[in-house]
Amino acid sequence: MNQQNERLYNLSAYQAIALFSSSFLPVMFWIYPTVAVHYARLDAQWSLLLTVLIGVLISWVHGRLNDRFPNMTGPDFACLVWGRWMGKLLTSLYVPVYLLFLGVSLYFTVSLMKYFFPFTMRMWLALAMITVAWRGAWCGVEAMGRASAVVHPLTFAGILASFGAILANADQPLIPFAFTSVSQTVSGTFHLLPLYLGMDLILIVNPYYRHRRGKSEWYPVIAAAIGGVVVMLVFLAIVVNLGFTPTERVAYPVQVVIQLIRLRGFLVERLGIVIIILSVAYTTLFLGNHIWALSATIARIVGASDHKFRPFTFFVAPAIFAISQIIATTMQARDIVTVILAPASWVAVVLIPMSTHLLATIRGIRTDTREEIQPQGRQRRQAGRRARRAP
Amino acid sequence: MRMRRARWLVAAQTAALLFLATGCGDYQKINDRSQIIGIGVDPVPDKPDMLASTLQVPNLEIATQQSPGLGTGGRQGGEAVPYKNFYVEATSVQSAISRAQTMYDKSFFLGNLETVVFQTGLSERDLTRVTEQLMRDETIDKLAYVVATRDSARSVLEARTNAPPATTIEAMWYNDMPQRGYSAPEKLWQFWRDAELIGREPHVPLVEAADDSIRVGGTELYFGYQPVGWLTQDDTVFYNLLMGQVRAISISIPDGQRSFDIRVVRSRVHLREIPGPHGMVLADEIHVRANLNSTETMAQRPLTNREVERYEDVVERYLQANCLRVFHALQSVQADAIGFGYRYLIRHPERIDEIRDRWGDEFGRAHVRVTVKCRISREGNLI
Repeated sequence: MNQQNERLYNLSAYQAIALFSSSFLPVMFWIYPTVAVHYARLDAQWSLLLTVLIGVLISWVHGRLNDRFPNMTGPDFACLVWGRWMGKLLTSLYVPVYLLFLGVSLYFTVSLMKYFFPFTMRMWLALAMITVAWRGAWCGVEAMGRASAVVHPLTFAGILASFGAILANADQPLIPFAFTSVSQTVSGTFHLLPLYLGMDLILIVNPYYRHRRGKSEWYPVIAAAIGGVVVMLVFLAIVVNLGFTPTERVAYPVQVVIQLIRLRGFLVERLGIVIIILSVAYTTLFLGNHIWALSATIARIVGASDHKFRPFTFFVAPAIFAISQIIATTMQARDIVTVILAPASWVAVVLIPMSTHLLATIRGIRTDTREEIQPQGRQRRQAGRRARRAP
Repeated sequence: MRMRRARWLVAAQTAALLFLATGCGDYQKINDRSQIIGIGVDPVPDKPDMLASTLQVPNLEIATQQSPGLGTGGRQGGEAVPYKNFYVEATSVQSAISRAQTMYDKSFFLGNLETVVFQTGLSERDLTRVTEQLMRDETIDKLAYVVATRDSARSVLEARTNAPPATTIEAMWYNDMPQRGYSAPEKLWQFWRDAELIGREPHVPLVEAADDSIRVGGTELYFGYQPVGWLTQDDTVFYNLLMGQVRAISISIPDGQRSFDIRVVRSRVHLREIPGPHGMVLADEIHVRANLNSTETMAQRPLTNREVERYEDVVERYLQANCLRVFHALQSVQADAIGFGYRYLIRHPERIDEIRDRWGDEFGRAHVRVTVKCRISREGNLI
């Protein structure tokens, strides 16, 4: 009990939001405008908007689930709701999906870095990133939370500023408002959901942040909404500049578009490199978060405490590195995303958490009794107020 | 004790990370690199697969050979020019660069490409191929300007200008240049985008080498990657008016036997496309804000309000007639260089297949409504 209380108050609300918000996007960030235009044609912006809305809704379900079982990690309440073996089976489904997802994310980021380091082997770039990420994960989720609180706002501000400038610079500011086809939009949304793959990290972080009635369920929602703002802004900046048909022809549209703006007299003349530095920091952070999360999940599946996650990082980090090295071409990576990760993300991000929540509601299972949820927080606040009032 | 050991461990780990920093293992001195600033592409007669590439690099040694203090720009007796050109026949631009490397002792670098020159005789297939090669290579600067020439790309890049021709061409449209009107520049990525985009066709400035300089002589129009026609330099002004992109240029307006001059400060447009029973109606509303440069009375007596209004009327009628003429010229070659088709597509995405297959015809047959609104906002110092 003592141990639980100790870890109950580890991440602040701000750190939790930054941590959640830096746990998705990288797998598709560099290619999603192409995928959106490929599947949804001129409805791409609608399918993207729908994806963001689904992401926000699902993040709310995640938040509700966490508040329902405040002191347990995801695998634990899965076992509680589904029964022991079914819970373990469902949780272990996440492992291959997430390993593949992280491997592909690493592959894409390394491909981007190759633009700037053309003579450095992919292997070394990937190794450098995974080593730093692994070192971060080794320090545990508290360290990752603190790192997120620094890196995520920087990345967010950088992306807002640069893509805002690119959007404002467009010579034909045309954004379509018409809606054509439901089937195209749905197909686009189906293939775009991997943008929000990674969200299940929220479930494993559950015992590490403070749960407050009516508040903490919104942390994941805020995180997903921040991601949504980035996704929409970047997409519009690209489509307004390149147009719809050309966007479908480029492999890395984000990369192409950041090359098109040259701010003369700016601190850094080539804006692209700033974005790349930020995104490498972001992806490393993201990898670190997930190495920790996946190791903790595996620890819970095999029945060890989630504090004993460290040995499992020796499996997770090399596996991610290996997958990123096996992928040979961009098209192969894109196929993995659209053929395997898209359906997998519907199962892992939407189906399992939703049905867990539904089943928990139907069976009336919850562990958020009044005593557990926040007596101390209120007392502490009142104590603080009392201290301020006393001269 | 434990703390100290932990600190050593962290320090050792951090130091170990340095091994991963590749740093300057592949360091190259700036003197050993050479930037390709211009690429010219000509067709090769009788060899449909080959392209004749002209690659231009600045010749930096020239400044040290001659006395730099004289400020003559490094030209003496017409012998030394501030650039070097390489002529190579190859199937792609990249292989041309590789071949050219065997003729030069500095390694080529494409990150500062300034100008791409296409010969107008390049076939659609060649132009598609070259543009694709230039866009595909991530080391090439996509902000380079594209120009076309009727002579040969080689002759343009051989012009005897003070600065290298590629730099001279780029300098005509660099961001600091306030004037815009007698030429309609496009950057490499814009050229590619317009060629790929449904409902919008690319255009590039036509250039030719003159005695001591490079002259812009109009605008080449394309349909996709196929050159279909061209506009004269004067017509380019009206094309720019149709696009709403005229900045800070002076034009002379004929008025019966006499004429007067205005300086167009800025123009903007409002484009609309209305599907009607007899095909499309394309509307182009041009708003011009101008200053008066000269009057017909030579400032003998004060300008009255009524006279200013009459000038505005004359400007409107003159610009309207000429813009309409240029619009019809665009229609006659079915090149929608204004982008009505793309605007229509954005509003009616459900008609994408129709627009893709038939926009050229539709644009050619469309009814055109050009209106010009002129406001003379300043009459200057004289009365």
